[in-house]
Amino acid sequence: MEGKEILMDKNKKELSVISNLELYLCPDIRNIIKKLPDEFKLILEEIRLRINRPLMVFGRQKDYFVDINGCLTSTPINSYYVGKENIEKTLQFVSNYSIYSVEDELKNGYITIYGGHRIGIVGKVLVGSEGIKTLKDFSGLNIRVSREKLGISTKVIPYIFNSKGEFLNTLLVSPPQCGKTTLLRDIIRTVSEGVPQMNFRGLKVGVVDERSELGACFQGIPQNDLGPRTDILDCCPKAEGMIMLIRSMSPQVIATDEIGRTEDSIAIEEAMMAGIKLITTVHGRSLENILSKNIVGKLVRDGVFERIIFLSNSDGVGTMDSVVDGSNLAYLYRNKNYKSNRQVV
Amino acid sequence: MLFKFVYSVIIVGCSSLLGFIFANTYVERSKLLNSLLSALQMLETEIVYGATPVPTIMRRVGNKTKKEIGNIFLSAAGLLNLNSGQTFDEIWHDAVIREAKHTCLSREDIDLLLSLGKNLGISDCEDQVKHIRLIQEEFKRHYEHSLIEQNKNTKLFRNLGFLLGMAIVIIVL
Repeated sequence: MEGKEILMDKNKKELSVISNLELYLCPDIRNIIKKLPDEFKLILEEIRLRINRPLMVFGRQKDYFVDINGCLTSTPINSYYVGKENIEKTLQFVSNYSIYSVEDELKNGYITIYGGHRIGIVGKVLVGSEGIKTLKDFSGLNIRVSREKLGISTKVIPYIFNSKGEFLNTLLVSPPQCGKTTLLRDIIRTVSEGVPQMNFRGLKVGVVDERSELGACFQGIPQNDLGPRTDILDCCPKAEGMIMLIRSMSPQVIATDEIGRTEDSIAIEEAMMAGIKLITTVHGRSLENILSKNIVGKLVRDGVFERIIFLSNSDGVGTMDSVVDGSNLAYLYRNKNYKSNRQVV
Repeated sequence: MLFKFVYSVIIVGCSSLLGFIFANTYVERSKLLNSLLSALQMLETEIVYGATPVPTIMRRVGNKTKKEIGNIFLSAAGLLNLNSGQTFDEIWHDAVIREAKHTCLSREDIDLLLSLGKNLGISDCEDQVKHIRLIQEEFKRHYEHSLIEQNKNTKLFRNLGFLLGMAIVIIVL
């Protein structure tokens, strides 16, 4: 009985996430999204607005067309067609009626809004002498629902600490949309909070949030809980950010998303020399795949990462496929579906 | 005789007052246009130096400007916070129409003020400044014109009120 109540509370919370997000949509689309079935709202991941194209929603690895009554279909017949006005109005709400105040975000192609949701934007790019100047004539929006999955790192935590309770340098590997960032976020929170059951007190974590995905800061306030001992450098280039944190915030662990450039590896070396532990992510599918990458491959071969964790969505988003010991590249854990996944890859 | 005197005083007093009130609208309009100009200057500063979002600007400018003009901005700020799904242009239109009717602004002033809503917030900083400066220039012209009208008409209406009262007294009584 109690379990059912907890589930209902959780569902209510998830639905309120969507109803808060609805306020950023233009009235026509807001009304349609409101009418979506509650079961779908619980798994809704993306709302896609493309100019003169049908309104689409995406959830649990499938996309659907939506008609004016909020019914989901697999064909665009009868579906609601998005107009220029829908996109412009939605953008007004998303930018808090102030496009000029999100100019820098527009250059990156997305805006983070209250609640940590991210709005991807495409349109006509204006290029100036210093690269991309701004976007105009907006033609498409991708509204990505951000959900904090508290506690998803429980399975991973035992692998990223050694027997003395020390944190190990960790690399999370998965293809896009398999929950890398969501897992990293929860690991950061857990490491920062500590795990009393494991007699682990929690460490100072410095987060370099280049794409504002981890903390999802809105006007400087992190929208996601990253724990009590976490310092966030928002929208900061990774390499510079890591060095800034080492010098300014004395972190014990540095967390960052998606490494891969030469300057990243220099910053990682500097962090290692300062005795700071590292947790980061990279796009990839298998050990062979990441070993073949230029920068990350070298870091893995050099044994920089003590744990490499592979994720997939074989058993839902964020399934832990395997854990590799970075020192000898031996498997410490393998999911029962792991072999078949690799064949598919 | 006494009654006639009292009536005369009342009639002259009332018509002078009417003349004063009418003359005062010219003075008041100039004052409002002047404070509108400074409100627009604040708007530009907030956008250029602070990249402050429109709802916050509306609140700040509203609190710092002369009450009649400030009310337009505060009313818009209130409507923006409702998240009703209206665009800024629609909200600004509602706020201006609702608040400006209690002021001495002319139809042209109100139309110019309404045109601010069509562009505010929908483009980059550079573009916003251009739009605001354009409206500022227009308001400056309105202000200069209102000063000329004020100088010309204030004295006229004040005297006219008094003289009209006197004329009524002479003709009727």
